[in-house]
Amino acid sequence: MIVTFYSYKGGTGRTMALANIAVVLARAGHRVLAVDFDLEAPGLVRFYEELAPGATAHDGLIDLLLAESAAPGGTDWRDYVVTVDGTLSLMTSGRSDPEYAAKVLGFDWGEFFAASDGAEFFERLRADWTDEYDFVLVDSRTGITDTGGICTITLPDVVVPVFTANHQSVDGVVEVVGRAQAGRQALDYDRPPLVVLPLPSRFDGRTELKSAQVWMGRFAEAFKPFYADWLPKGVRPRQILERTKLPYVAYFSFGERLPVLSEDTSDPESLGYALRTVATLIEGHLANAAEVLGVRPATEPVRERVEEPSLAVHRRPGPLARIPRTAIPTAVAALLGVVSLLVTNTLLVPFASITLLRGVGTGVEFFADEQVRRTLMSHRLEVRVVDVGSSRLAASDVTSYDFVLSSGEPGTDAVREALRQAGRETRSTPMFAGPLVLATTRPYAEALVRRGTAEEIGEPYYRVDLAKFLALAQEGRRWADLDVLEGPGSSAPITVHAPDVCSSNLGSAYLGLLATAGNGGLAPTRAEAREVARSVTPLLEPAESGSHLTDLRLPNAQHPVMVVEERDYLGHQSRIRASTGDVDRDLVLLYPTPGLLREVEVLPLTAETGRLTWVLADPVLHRRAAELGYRAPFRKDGELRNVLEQRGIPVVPELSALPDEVPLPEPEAMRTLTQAVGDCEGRGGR
Amino acid sequence: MDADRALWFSVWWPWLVLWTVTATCLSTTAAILWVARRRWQNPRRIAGICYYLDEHAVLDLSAVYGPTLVKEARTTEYAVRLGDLKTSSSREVVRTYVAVAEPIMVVNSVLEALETTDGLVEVDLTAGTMRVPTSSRHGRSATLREVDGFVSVEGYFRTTSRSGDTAVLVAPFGDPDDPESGPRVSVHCAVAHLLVDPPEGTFAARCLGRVQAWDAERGELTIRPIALFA
Repeated sequence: MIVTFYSYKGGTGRTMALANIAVVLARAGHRVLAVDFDLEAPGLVRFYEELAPGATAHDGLIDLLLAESAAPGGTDWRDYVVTVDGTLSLMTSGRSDPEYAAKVLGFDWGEFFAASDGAEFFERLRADWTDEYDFVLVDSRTGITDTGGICTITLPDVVVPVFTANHQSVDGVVEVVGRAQAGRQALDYDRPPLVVLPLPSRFDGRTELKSAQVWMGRFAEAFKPFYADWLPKGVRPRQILERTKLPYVAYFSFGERLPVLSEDTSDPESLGYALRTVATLIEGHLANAAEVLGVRPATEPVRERVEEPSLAVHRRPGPLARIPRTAIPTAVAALLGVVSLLVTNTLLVPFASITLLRGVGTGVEFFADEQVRRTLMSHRLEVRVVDVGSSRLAASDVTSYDFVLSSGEPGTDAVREALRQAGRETRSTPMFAGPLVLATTRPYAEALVRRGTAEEIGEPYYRVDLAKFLALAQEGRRWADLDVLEGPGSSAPITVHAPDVCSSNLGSAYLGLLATAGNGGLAPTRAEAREVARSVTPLLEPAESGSHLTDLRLPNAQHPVMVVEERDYLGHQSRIRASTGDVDRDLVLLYPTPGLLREVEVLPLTAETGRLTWVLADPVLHRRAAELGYRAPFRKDGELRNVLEQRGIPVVPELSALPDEVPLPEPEAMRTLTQAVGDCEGRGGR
Repeated sequence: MDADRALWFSVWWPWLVLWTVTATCLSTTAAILWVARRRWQNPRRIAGICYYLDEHAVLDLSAVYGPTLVKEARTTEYAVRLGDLKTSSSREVVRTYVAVAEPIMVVNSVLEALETTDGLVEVDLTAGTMRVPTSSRHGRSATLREVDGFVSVEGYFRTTSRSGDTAVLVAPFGDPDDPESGPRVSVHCAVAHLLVDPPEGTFAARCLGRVQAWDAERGELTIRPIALFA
């Protein structure tokens, strides 16, 4: 095996390393030839002066080259080799005499290769050396030279680049060795690839510890590709570098010494130890690196295949996921709120306007009820009705109002007629209805029953024949004459106490009904009115002047029979029932025959009133009307019956069970009747 | 004649309360969303050192993601308006110059452009996780070589070799005791594009690039870098 020691710069300790390693290999019994190829600066022989004192006088390499150049093929290289010690031989650079320099300078390498077939000569030389020696160690010239090319490309099996810890040295060596490997590939001869064993030298790792570490790292990095050719798996370049680095030892920097002979080579920090290690590697043809380092030899012939690690996948949040959590409760609340406001049509509640409707007429109690007002307000409607008497209504200026509320009295027709004449056709909307009734106490009703004037139609309700009743009064009878009655009122004449016919719609309605009954069931004409008025007066006891609709109108000792609103009776029974737990059983109602169903209706005067008629369809208002004792219009009184049943009050007769209505007198006739009975104008009324 | 406000209030107060609560909730929600939206619109900015930037690759990216990059670049652009006096009607010529941004700004722009277009997968090697776009087809776990688009790989890098015109940086998968063994990501940086020498030893950094190949024998995933920054 031919091993070339090369350094880019001088002074690296290259020759010293070679000389020592040669000795170690020879002492191990190998046949070793050391060749000094550094013709320009020879020095190898100096190391062996003690072992082979006469070597300098012996012919060497330059002499061989000159002889070969003079007579190609006629030389024997063996003549130029001198034995140093046992199996160690040396080929010096040349005989050490005054002509040496001239010989070296005069040698023409170009001609040697061109004319003398130098390449062939070196091939022969290489073959011979390989045959005859175990190891041939060649000390190469520094830098980049022709001879360097022979030493690093042509001859060797292994190149040992020797370098010190500086960039010039390292980079130069890497460059040259890299080129040598490339040049080796381009050789004409079939040659195995060049193996490189980097050798750091003069390395002071004891005093400059930190720098030493840094430089060791750099060495490992720079020479990594070269190590890859031969360093077994499991051994890192750094490890082999640490073991083979040649420490700087001041002692050996003076003169030419052989530390492998003079020093204890068992100290790992010693120069001799490092040199022996390198020698051992060369001895093992570099195949024993793991063994030399004492690491377990790598026995992994096949590299294990590694699966690429899987990574957990997280998805970037989408637009929805990016909504802050804190917004969710408020958003949900806002959504619920908006939906509620939309569903209930209250989205604009703070800005909604209230429609104020002003009405005029009779039967205003319904609109004065607190619950009715609240219900209307929930529809953003406020209704205010000015109460005027039935007779006054006809003459009232209604044009400044939104609607007229009428209870079916003649005045309403007058208003409607006036509007028609003014070109304002209008259709009324019935709200609720109630039959005209007479209230009395049970003994009076029973007396009338016995007399055949009345009949019971279901406790505590009776039907009274108004014509027969009128006849009793016209005969001037007293209640006592019905012979069953005792008590304070029994001596009073038979009559019916009615509200003021001038101011009260109820009063005038009773008068109209009574007049029709007294006129044989036919409404009296205007001509008949005055006469009829006189005939019916006995059964009509007008209220005192100034009496008002809101007065509590219930029969008493002075007025045993009274014209009342049905709802007033029902309201009274409700109150009694609520306070005593039972109804007032003594108080009964007489439904006159012929009867009169009085409808309360709205006569719209403005467009806004349309809303009122629409709102009045609200079931809440229907229910409330029933609670107030009103019957629904169009003879639908189911709601009222429900309310009465719930309250434990005897259910009033169905309207269908009551007698048919009769037409009331015409307005003109009615006016005459009222005047005749009530003397309205005489009392300051109109 | 005014309406009865007291009656109105007594009827409508529950709805007024509901209305007020709803309005409050609506405005609160709107405020929260507005604040959050501002945050989304200002993506994370990386302030740091850009070690490596392959400008050719960035230019290529600009060609594809141009509008987005230009939009980002608008902060650093300025326009020159020249009135053209040759014609009777003056014509306005607008020229746009993109000022040379700092490398880290370019990186930010590229990252934003890629993120906006769902073209970026963010990888945390130490945690062993990757963040993919919402629409990604990947399951619960995936390997990096399955990623088609661009990756931003975050990990602990170290320079393993630097010779000639290439510097090789590697970062291990996970947090192994010995970072030199076990699977790793390898980034081959052209020395010509290195802006700053990466620090010696191990350092945390992010590499934006594309996955090239997995070498099962070496246990190494090669990434072609566009930028390396920390």
